[in-house]
Amino acid sequence: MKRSKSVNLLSYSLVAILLILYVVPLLFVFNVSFKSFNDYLLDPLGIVQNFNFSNYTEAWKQGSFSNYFVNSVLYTGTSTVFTILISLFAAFPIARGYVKWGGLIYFFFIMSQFLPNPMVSQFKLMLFFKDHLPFMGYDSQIGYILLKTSGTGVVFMMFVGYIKSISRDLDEAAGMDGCGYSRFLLQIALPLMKPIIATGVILTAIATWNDFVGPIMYLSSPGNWPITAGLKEFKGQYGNNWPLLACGITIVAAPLIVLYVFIQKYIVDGALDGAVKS
Amino acid sequence: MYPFGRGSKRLIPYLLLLIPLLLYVVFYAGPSVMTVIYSFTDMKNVPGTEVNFVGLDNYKSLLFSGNSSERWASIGRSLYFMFVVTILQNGIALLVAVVLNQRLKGDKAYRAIFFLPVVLGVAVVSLIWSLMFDPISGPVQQLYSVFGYKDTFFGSFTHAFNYIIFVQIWMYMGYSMLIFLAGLQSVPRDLYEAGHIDGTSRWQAFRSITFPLIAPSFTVNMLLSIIGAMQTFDIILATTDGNFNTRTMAYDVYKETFRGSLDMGLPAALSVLQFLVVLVFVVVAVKQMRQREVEY
Amino acid sequence: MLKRLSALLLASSLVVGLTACGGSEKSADSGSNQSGGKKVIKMLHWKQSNINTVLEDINKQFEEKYPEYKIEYITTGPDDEYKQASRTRITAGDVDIFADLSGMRLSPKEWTPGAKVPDWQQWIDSGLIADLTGQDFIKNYVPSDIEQAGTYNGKVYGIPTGKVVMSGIFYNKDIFAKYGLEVPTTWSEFIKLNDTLKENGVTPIGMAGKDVWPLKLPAFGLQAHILGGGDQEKFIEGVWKGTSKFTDPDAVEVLEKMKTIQDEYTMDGFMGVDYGTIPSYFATGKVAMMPNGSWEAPTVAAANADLNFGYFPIPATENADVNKALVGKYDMTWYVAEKGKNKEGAIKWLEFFSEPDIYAQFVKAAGFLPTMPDVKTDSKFFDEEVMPYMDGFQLAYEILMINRENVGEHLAAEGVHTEYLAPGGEFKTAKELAEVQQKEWDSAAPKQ
Repeated sequence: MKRSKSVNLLSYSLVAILLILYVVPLLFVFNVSFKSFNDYLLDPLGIVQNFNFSNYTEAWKQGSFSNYFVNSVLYTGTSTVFTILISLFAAFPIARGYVKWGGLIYFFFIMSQFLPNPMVSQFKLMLFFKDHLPFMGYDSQIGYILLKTSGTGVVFMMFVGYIKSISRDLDEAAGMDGCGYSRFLLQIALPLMKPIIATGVILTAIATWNDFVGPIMYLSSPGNWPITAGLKEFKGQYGNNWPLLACGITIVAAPLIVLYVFIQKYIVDGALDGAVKS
Repeated sequence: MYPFGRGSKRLIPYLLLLIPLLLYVVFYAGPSVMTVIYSFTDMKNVPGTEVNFVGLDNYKSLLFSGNSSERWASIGRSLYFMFVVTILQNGIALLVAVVLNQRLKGDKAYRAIFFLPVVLGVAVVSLIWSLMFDPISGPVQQLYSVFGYKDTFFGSFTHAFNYIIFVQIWMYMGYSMLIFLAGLQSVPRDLYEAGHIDGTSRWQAFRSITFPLIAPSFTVNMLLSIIGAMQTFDIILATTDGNFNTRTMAYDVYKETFRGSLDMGLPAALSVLQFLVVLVFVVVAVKQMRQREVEY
Repeated sequence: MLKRLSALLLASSLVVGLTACGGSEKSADSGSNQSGGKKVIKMLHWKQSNINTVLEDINKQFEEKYPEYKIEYITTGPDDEYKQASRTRITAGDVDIFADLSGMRLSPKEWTPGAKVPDWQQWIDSGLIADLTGQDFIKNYVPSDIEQAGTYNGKVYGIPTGKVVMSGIFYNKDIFAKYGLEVPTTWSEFIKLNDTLKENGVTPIGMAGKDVWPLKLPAFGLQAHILGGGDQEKFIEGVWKGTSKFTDPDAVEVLEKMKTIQDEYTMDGFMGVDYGTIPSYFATGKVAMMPNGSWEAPTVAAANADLNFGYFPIPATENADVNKALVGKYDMTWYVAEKGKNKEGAIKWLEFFSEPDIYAQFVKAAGFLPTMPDVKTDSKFFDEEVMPYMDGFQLAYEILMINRENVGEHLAAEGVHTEYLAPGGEFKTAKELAEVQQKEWDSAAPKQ
């Protein structure tokens, strides 16, 4: 399709303005993270002259990130894998009509998006578990992972839409060959859904990795805190030392950015189809 | 029909479906229903105190007591937040999606960058903007001072809430944009070509060809931003902590649950009120959208 | 390539998941009060680096003396975040000993129908706080301090660890000397001093408005000396009984004086500055004065060891004799949780903490005025800058005020809320704010 020059110019200027809005803050934080505190106080905006790489080791130490990092990897890894799996368990039979009352169940699950905020009673529930099933109650890692795992949220909705676009013939053929249901799900359906799974992975990982409210509510032992607690540690104590805080920001953000770089191709290549189709 | 065997094998999908169902009922739907029940009691966040049914007392004290004008203000602010975010975020996102869909040079990189804030998460994004909006040494203040203007940003009664809205839109614009892009990419290109030859204007082409086809992504985006905006409190918590006229219903639920009085009935009632408001807008929005989808 | 990559990703996260499950069993274990055969004492506190450091040190000494115990010292962010953490944990029975932000605030009286019941009182009434009455170590403290800040219904529940002064102003002695300024003793001297600084291009005052509460500190001094003609308790009882109002001239005067300080003499943009940043402005000489609590002295000294600074009470009135009395509160107060897993250990620790030489280590590092007789702080700052003003020490308004339940935001948290004044807030004059306050007070009255 041909475009007029003026439209082209307009398009590029819009993109340019947005790029500035989106990139400058990130570069600014990155720049600050290398400054010494004194340099920052004297000249907060200038481009860094003397790189203080030691800021990062200092921040890593003061934020106790090494303790929290492992927890975050654990929470994010498990809740993501579980969410993908059980979303598949929920979405597949509903999309295919393999269970009765699929439509009703679908509606019931979708309601999770706007049911009354369960915060008050979730807290009570976790306390109840603490007394009766302590391994999954308040201040337990398993309890927190279970809270962050959901087979009924946005990932489920996207899956349903996407599965509908996969041909049914596959099911029939596999069934004919004697392939069982669960094997079909894991070995045939799952690989076919790669783009939508990539989206599901990044969305779930974001929600868990960056969760800073949940841990305050449900995890009280420092041994269980995730990486966002490290960030809080800065805010309380070194809130004014922006260079170190900027290091903390970078440390927390970096792992997800790496993950994102690897799988963003799938996401931008129309993986959100599912959301639209459902 | 079901191609994976009969008899007991027929039960396998049910068994697997039971896992998400159970999780959902125990951790989400159950507590939601309990919240509605709690909202009619005087339950306290102190173990061992007795619980009584108090009817509508919690609702009365929320809406018709000494400080209920603040509740109304919170509700008003929630609605303002919802309208502004929904309109601006989707408006900008649609514009950007249409622009990027013309296959500009480097469009994939732009998309990836605009989606990046979603990846960074609320805690990081709030800190980034607290740094940008530092009233003494932040770059935005420096920019303002060129025009002789001063602001205290997240510490300003008049502007803090708008800055929060800005950050919210900055953060989630990319998300809406992707959903629009997904819709736009399902529009066959030859449809445009045909339209172009017919001499239809760009705007006409958009209205009559593109929009009907992306209507589903429009619905999804509207719902996501309405619900999202009504339930957002983390960004407020991380920037102003509810000070400077920035409390919304969602923030109040959190605040009353964990930091207000030891009363649990009150925040439960507040949750229910919030639910009712969301419900009204979701129903209205869905009705509107459905009509639109049918119209074309 | 991508196929392999994603398979790898999925596989690796699965592995992480599996090892994770192994790991979490271990940590579920730490929920019990045994750890390597030692009895764990869970202690909750907020982040405040000088106090954190000294407590960690005291805990180490305790563990050496009583090797059967292990202390899990947990800190959270200050203020609201701490409030949330302590509440959650007390409710969950997940703490043995914890600190409260101040001594006991006043609880409702017979003349305060429908008053807000403070958290500590609700906890005690529900049997969540251990009764410490009769413990030997209580005798180590000044009886009147325990009586005022730790006793309820004749029983001792809390141990106030020290007093702090809140109504003073830190000043940079070098800047004062440079312009020939002296410590002001009356309001008009204070105003003149500020004007002189301004004329010389020095920003007089640094204050943190973004966190809101720091604005209360100078206001406490004004309230104590102005409200009720210098008797703020009379004023408080008056607003309950209807004999005094928030729109009375004395209450408006407090707001007006705060407005003057905020509008005329405080640095630009202070409403956007957070509390943690202010000491660095003061310590580097960017502002000449900083209204702040005495606890901030160690922080200021740490920020700039060469800084020559002093402290004076905010001169609230024209009467120098009245002005010189400082206003403050009992700070950090220990409570033992009745339903924790290790109440006995917590009491043991408190007993250790209350040994005079251990307590002395604490109080020196904390920057508190001792609540134990004969304990010296060895602090030049206290001896020279604070002690001269300690005669007639008064408790701050926020401790004495008994609030109504559901009171509006312009009176909530027992504050003065001068952040609502223009230019930051919506109220152009002190009078307007006062009128809204009185209205909110009236509409929060219990319905007959």
